[in-house]
Amino acid sequence: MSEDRTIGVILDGVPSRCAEGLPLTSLLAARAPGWRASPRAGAPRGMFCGMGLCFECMVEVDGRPARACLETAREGMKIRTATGPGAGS
Amino acid sequence: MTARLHVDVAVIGAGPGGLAAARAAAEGGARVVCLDLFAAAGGQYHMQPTQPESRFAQTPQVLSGRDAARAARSAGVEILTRTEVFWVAGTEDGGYCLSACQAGAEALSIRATTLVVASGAMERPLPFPGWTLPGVIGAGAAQRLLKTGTGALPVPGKAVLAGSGPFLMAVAQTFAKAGQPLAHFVEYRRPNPRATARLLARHLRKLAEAFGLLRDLRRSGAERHFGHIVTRALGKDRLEAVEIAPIDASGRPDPARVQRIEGVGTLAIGYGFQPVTDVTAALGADHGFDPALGGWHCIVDPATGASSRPGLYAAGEVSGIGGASPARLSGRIAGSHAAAAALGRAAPDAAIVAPLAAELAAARGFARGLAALYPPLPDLPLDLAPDEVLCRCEDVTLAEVRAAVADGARETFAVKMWTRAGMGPCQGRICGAAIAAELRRAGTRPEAAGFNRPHLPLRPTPLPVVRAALAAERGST
Ligand SMILES: Cc1cc2nc3c(=O)[nH]c(=O)nc-3n(C[C@H](O)[C@H](O)[C@H](O)COP(=O)(O)OP(=O)(O)OC[C@H]3O[C@@H](n4cnc5c(N)ncnc54)[C@H](O)[C@@H]3O)c2cc1C
Ligand code: FES
Repeated sequence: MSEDRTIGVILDGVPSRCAEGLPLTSLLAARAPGWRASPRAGAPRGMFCGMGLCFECMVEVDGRPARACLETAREGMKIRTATGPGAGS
Repeated sequence: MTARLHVDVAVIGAGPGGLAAARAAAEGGARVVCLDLFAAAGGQYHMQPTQPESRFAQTPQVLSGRDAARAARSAGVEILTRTEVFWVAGTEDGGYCLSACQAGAEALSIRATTLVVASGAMERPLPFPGWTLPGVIGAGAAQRLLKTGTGALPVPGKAVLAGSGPFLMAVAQTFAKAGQPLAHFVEYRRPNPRATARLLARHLRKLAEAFGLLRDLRRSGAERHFGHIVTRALGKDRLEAVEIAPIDASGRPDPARVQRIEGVGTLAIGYGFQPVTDVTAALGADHGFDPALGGWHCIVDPATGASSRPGLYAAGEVSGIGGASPARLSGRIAGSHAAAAALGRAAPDAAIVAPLAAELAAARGFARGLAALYPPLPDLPLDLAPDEVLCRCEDVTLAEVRAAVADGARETFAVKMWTRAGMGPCQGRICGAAIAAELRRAGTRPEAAGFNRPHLPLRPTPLPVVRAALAAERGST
């Protein structure tokens, strides 16, 4: 919240600023609540359990698969979602 | 490179149960490591905020969690956070070998003489039409969004909190404390003031807490709908509206009195908790089914915390849902016994452990009384369309599960083999309750339907990490 503690991340290729340590679920859901497509039906999905057990919130953080609900924003973090704008670029 | 550790006692989970177990084991003279997948110790009850300016930074729950972690560390416990145990196995010498993944990338292999599992609980998800839409989240997930981060729900629009059980009131309280508007509160059960008063009369210490919950539910400003259920979540790519209906005498929603709530951004839904049993089940310990304890749980001797498997102890919610105080008490008991067993010493002093066991019995008694006020919904209370998804990981629909059951699948495991439901990343943690409800509809009791036997890795883990940890376990690195 406080301006002095914001940091820069790259979200689906787009530089963005947010509070340091913000849970990635808060960051992502503020853009849109869904950021994945389900495997067979391709239906939109976002966070569900919020505690690391359902794997619905998967993203890529600095090139590695990660659960958004377990990650917090760090300076320079590169976050890629499967369905976000600019995904796949 | 795989990091390796040798300890007397390993504790899985750093919630109230795990922290109490780890501290007691260290005070009993054991070398102890305590592992948790979250970035900060505390588990659910002592969940730590990520923002120092959070309104929740100084709550008693947060501060007591910090104290519990500090006390464990000063007793000598090594607490490893961002460390997820993805496999456990018995070793030839009767001990345990744990394989863990640290920070999503590094392998860690731990040998322990005895093991305490305090893996906690999760919400028992029940499918309903539209439950997979983004914006529909667990009640606990909403609580985490409010308690960590900036204290605001990220998705614009109304918030609706629905389901059943005392935890719903706790989440409404979190909304009130966060100063976040809650538009609707939808509870399946109707209040039972006489039974509630009887329970509180027997546990007067809980009275202030109960009044606080009621006060904050009002303070949240939510329109309260008791005896109602969410019948549908609607939206295209995200949640937009929610339908609710009153429950009739048969326990089902009355279709003639559906009410639509428009402009909803977040639907937080919770139907009670179920134990997280993947680790204890992987080790083949005996598990029992009791709806009052959240369904399948690891069976332990309450006097020692010992499971059916030598050297394996369980504490907290994994041994049956009861809340934070049974978790803490059972943790202390299990930790001191696990240390004594690991060091080959006599059982801990009965003068110390017996009063704990008595306190635990009282705390469990209150939890049982509370569970009786909110009996879990045993079956799917709603009629689902055949194409509704039951297994979110593999997009398995109700029609596919019904076809498997019609073909003769009588166990959760058979449904998995037929349909892939439970084979995805969540390993049946999310769909298990719904599959059990479907099997029960077809005449198989949950006790007979069983649960999915976990397989390696318990949680999706990068393959190189799995290989490295298992190689270290065999002693080849
Ligand atoms: C979503 C949710 C929210 C809750 N909120 C409240 C609340 O606000 N107030 C309240 O009184 N009670 C709450 N509870 C009830 C809660 O279960 C108890 O209060 C208490 O936290 C139980 O303690 P525990 O030690 O048994 O489990 P937990 O506190 O859940 O701790 C278990 C820990 O083990 C970790 N873990 C599990 N498996 C592994 C693994 N394989 N590897 C590494 N780590 C692992 C988990 O991440 C977790 O941190 C909540 C429960 C849930 C599920
Ligand atoms: S929301 Fe379930 S794992 Fe992140």
